[in-house]
Amino acid sequence: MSYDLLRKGLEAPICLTWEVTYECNLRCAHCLSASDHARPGELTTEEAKALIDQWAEMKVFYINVGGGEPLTRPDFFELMDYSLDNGIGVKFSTNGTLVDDAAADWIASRNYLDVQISLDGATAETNDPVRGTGSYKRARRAMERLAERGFKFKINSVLTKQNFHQLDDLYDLATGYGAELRLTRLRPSGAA
Amino acid sequence: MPVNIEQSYEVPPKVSVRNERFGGLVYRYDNRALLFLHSRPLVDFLKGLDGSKPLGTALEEFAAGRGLDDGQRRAMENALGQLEGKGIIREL
Ligand SMILES: C[S@@+](CC[C@H](N)C(=O)[O-])C[C@H]1O[C@@H](n2cnc3c(N)ncnc32)[C@H](O)[C@@H]1O
Ligand code: SF4
Repeated sequence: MSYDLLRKGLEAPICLTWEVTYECNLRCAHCLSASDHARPGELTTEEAKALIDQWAEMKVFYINVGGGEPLTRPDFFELMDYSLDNGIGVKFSTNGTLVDDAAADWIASRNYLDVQISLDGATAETNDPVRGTGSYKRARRAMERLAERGFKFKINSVLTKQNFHQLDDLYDLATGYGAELRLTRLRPSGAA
Repeated sequence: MPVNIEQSYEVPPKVSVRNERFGGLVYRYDNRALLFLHSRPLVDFLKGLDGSKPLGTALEEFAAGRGLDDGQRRAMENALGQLEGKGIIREL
C-alpha cells in the first residue's frame, strides 16, 4: 500500500542540499564544486531567509549545507539560526579552518545541528597535498575545539589511493574524539 | 505499551508532523528518525494534540467530530501507544 502511495511522490522534500556560497579559502585538488570565489548572484541574507521561510512552510525536515566553505559567509550563523528557529534541522560540512572558539561555542550550543569536518588523511603528509598546506593542522584544531565542548561531530574522508592505507589510523583518529568517520567515494567532477 | 488515557499528552518540540497524500510523515530531529503514518485521522489528531486535556477526552472528542466508530478510535489509541514508545508523543 505504502509503496503505491509513495510512488505518487511526497508533498515536499524531506531534506534539501544547499550550497550557500562558492567562496572557499582552500583549493582542494579534488573539489567537486570547483569552489574558489563567491559568484555573482549569490543569495543575500534576506533572499536566503525568504527561501528558508518557504522550506519551513513546506515542512522540509532538515537541510544539508555545503559549498564552497559555508563559514566564509559572514551571515552563516544567522542563517543557520534562522533555519533552526523555523524548525529545520541543519547538517553542514566544513573544512574546519574557520572554526575558532566563537564558532565552536555556537556549534556546541545548538540543538539539531550536525557538523562534518573534512579530512583526507590521517597525517598532514597525506592530507595536505590534497587539501592544502596547513589544512590538516587547522582541521585538527577545529576537531579539538568541538571535542573540548563535548560536541559529537563527524569526520568525512574522501577515499583516494593516497590515504587508503591510513584507514585504520583515520578510524582511530575519529574514535579519539568520539567522532563518527564517514568515507566518501571520489566523484570525478569539478576540479577533480 | 498502552497510553494512559487519564493523562494529557503532547507532541514534543523535537518532533515535526506533516501531511502527505498517504497520511503523513513524522520526523524526530534528535535521532533523525523518519516515520510514515498511513492514517490521515491519526496525523490530524497529532497536529491538534496540545496537552490541554486528558488523552481519552481528546480522543473521544476527535472521534465524535470525525464520526469514527469505537473500533477506529481504539485503533488510534493503539497507534498512539506505539508512537509514545518511539518518542513521538509524550505524557505531560
Ligand atoms: C565540497 S565540500 C563543501 C563543504 C566544505 N568546504 C568542506 O570541505 O567540507 C563537501 C565535501 O565534499 C568532499 N568532496 C570534495 N570533492 C569531492 C569529490 N570529487 N568527490 C567526493 N567528495 C568530494 C569534501 O572533501 C567535503 O567533505
Ligand atoms: S572541498 Fe571544501 S574546502 Fe576543499 S576546495 Fe572544496 S569547498 Fe573548499
